[in-house]
Amino acid sequence: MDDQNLLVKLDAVSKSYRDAARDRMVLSGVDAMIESGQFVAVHGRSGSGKSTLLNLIGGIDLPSDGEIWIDGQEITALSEHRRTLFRRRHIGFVFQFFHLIPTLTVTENLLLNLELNGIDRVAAKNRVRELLSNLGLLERRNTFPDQLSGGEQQRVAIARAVAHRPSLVLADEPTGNLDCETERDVLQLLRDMPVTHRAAVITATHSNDVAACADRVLYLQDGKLSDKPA
Amino acid sequence: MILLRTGLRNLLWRPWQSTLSIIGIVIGVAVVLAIDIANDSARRAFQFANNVVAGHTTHHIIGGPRGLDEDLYRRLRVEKAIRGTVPVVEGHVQLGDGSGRRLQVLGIDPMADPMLLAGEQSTAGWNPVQLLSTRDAAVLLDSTAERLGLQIPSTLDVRYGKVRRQVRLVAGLNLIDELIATSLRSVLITDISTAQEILDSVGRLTRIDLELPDDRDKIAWLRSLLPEGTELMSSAARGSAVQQMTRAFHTNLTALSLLALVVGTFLIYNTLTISVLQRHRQLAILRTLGVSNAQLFALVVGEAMVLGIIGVIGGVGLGIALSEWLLRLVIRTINDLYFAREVQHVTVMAGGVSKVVLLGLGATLVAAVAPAFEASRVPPQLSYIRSGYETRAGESITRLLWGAVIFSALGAIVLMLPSRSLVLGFAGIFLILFAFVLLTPWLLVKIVKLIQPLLYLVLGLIGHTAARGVTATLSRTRIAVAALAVAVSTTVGVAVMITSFRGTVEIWLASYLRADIYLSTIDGSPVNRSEAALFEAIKYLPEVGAVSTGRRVTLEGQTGRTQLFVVDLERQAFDNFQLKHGDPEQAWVQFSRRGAVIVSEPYAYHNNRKVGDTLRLRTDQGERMFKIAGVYFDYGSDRGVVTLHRSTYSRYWNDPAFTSFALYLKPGADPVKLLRKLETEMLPGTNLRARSSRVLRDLSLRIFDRTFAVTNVLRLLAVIIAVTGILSALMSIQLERGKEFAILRANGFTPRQLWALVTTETGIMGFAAGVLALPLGLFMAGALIMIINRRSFGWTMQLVLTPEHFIHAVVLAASAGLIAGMYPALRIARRPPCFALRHE
Repeated sequence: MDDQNLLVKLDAVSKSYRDAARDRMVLSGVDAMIESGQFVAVHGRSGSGKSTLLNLIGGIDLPSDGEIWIDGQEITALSEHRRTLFRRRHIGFVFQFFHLIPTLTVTENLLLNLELNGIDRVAAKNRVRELLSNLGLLERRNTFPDQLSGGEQQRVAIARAVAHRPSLVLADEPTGNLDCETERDVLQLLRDMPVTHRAAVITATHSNDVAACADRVLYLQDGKLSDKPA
Repeated sequence: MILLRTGLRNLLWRPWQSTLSIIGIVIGVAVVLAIDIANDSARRAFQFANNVVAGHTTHHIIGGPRGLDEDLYRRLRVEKAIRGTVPVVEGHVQLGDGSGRRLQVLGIDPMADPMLLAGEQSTAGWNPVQLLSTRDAAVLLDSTAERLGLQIPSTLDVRYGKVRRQVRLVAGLNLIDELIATSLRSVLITDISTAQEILDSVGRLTRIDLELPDDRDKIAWLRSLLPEGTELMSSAARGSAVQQMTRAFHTNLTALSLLALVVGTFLIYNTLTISVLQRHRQLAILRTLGVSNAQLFALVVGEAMVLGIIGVIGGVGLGIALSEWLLRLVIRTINDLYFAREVQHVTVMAGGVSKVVLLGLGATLVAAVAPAFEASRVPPQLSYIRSGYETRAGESITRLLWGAVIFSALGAIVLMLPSRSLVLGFAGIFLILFAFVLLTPWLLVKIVKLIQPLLYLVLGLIGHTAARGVTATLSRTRIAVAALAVAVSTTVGVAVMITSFRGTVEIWLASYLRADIYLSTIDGSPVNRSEAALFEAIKYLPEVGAVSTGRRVTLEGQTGRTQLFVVDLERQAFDNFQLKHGDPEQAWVQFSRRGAVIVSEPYAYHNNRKVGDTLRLRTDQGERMFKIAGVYFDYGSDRGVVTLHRSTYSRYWNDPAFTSFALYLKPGADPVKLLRKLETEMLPGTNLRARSSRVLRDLSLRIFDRTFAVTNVLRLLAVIIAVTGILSALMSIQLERGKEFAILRANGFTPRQLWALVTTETGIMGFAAGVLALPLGLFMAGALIMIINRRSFGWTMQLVLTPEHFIHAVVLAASAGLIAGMYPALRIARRPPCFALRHE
């Protein structure tokens, strides 16, 4: 693998939770390398640890053991505050239940990320306009999330994830809450991301259809990650 | 900016909760400001009344009960050529129109007064010499004349004791300085001799004001010139001694008002904490998107400050409006208990308002810190939301229990410190309150467990589910229940304290007022010769068995004012003084024959004296030491009284006057009949009035009730804050659970059942808070009675418990809970379940 293109590196990552007075191992010595511009699907059954893996890569949780490198930075060595700043700048998130901020309009939800990254207000507004226009949501820009359909909410969430041009987008079951037709649209958007937004995408899914769209599929079983299904 | 918008919209989208929180702050701030303004206005009224005459006065020469011989002024001014001396004659008269209105007479030397009558203070056209050139001349403020409906020039009838006089109003003053004008609202200014004639004190001065350089030798020299029975004291010492009289009263009002703000603060904390808990998911999303802990902290603090700023602005407006009304209550109490002073308008000082604004915002900030910290600790993991938090809340009960033990121990230690500090007293109470808040979750779980079977029995599944709902959402319910319990306990504590105090005073009055009929001068002035002759006649009426006379005298000194009560009584009447310390027989012998005194409990407490100690009094023959033979219960004065036998008083003071006398009737004599006889035949046209002991008791209790009117107002306001806050908290909790209730609806719960479920749940919380408020209220009452009142006033009180207070507490809290549940219950029950399920 070309080191220049290496975006994510997992080195012997383990994660266990204390559950009812005993440790439950969710990930066990996971190794993986993901290149820039790839669309990677992490496939596994419910409870296999897909969300945990994404949380670790996103820096919103820490492994019990091992190292995680993103864009040449070992995020597992960063303090909580530095990790937050790193996540803010380099990573975008898409969730199954959209998780838009209910008290912000569509535009404001997108502006939030840009503002957090200190992007100039005019440039930020242009960027939001461009994104909403591309996603066909310009008309809905002043609407609050609860007035949108599920598909629209997820498209806004995708726009929010890429608004600040992150190098990595993490999508946790992004189509799990959508009907078939909307699922196809959303999948296409994610699929295009490496090209349109030059961001790698790692999506956690239990759906074979989603996995089939990916450049690369990693299978998570029994806490281990492999390129081949068991 | 965008982040701030999430906070602002959060407030705007919960208008009920936000409004109720703001109301809590508005009332809290308003109460503190109103009390501050009322206290300050009352204090300033006194200060101005002093300073306006004093001008640049640095010292005063004061005398005994009858003031000073005016010759002293002549000697100092003429013989010793001491500059800057101003003679003053002061007293109160009644208007002769029968309205009962009083004016303060202020006799001054127009040529010597340093500032009052100088041209710079008054408008042109007024010449101070007019006071000297016209017989019985007087001036008052134009505004006062207008208020009393008087023309200038004209004459005015005034009455001092039985003597009526007519003064000529020669000019109306229109003072430039508003503050000085305020202090002279009810003052009639005359020259010295006119004032002496009006006040029946020819040849006497109330005091001499002096402007002395800061020169110890000169002050010592001046002191050496003064005759026995007079004293030179600094203005500052005199002012502070008088201020001392009402300090405890003001401190207590301030503390009670602060308690209202504390309840308000706790409710802001309550609202914010619940708001943070409700937004856990939203905060976690923000954290995931890269919002830092500090930014979330700032977000919650920002929201709190928005509520705080709106609340403080509203509170300042309401506080100023309230203050005028509260001032009337405060002044009425000061007039009843301390000294006569008239203040009709509040003086709002920028400093006072700024102080309260800072206090309000500071309280909001303090209230916001814990929820803001909670918000900043929200982890970005979205899976770790509600259940995890509830588990943590459940697990924390034991830790909180330990915290409660530690804080209550700390509180107990602070309260038991051998100190007289009020601040430490309140600190100890607040520590224990805090300990109780920490204990609430544990107690709540226990109470709910206890009543759960009963609820199941009465309400079936709904009762069971409602009880489970309270403990399952402990993270929220514990805060709301603690807030309500604290608020209700405050009202229980204050109510029990007032009842106990009233009960104690009633018992004391029954023992103290044992004579059948009491006679006294109407205006408190000493009886004159004709009245004394009348008294002699009454004394020998066939119905009268024994009499005792009384004379109240105030002695001023370096250490403050000492109230003397001079009595001439028989052994039997001596038992009216219920001795707290000292043997009655021995005390009587020492008191009646050996020149000893007995002192009231507050006097002994404030002056740190006990039986066998001595105290120093300034007599007409100079300072003398008096042995204390007993300490007696007395609730008539919070600064304390020194009681002397007439024979002792006559030995050291040249003052044969008395102001009251008590008649003990022979067995079988009818007091009602004698009273009627006195009122219709013997007293008309005199300055004397007769009252039965029952009337006097009722009057005293009426004054007592008036004294506590302001306290009751504060208590009521604290209840309003508490109920408003609790409505907000319980509504939030129930509205948040829309999805859960929608699921129940979807599964077949009827709107009526849902309504019953929600109101039962909030009712349980209210009931639990009411039950928890009982022990806490009892503690508050005990602390107020045994620590705060003792340290403030030196009184011992009996704890009087009546079931009503406790029943009221539980009913109040349970009703607040039920009412709080009604709106969310109605809303949830009316809403189609699909709507809630879709939007949650």
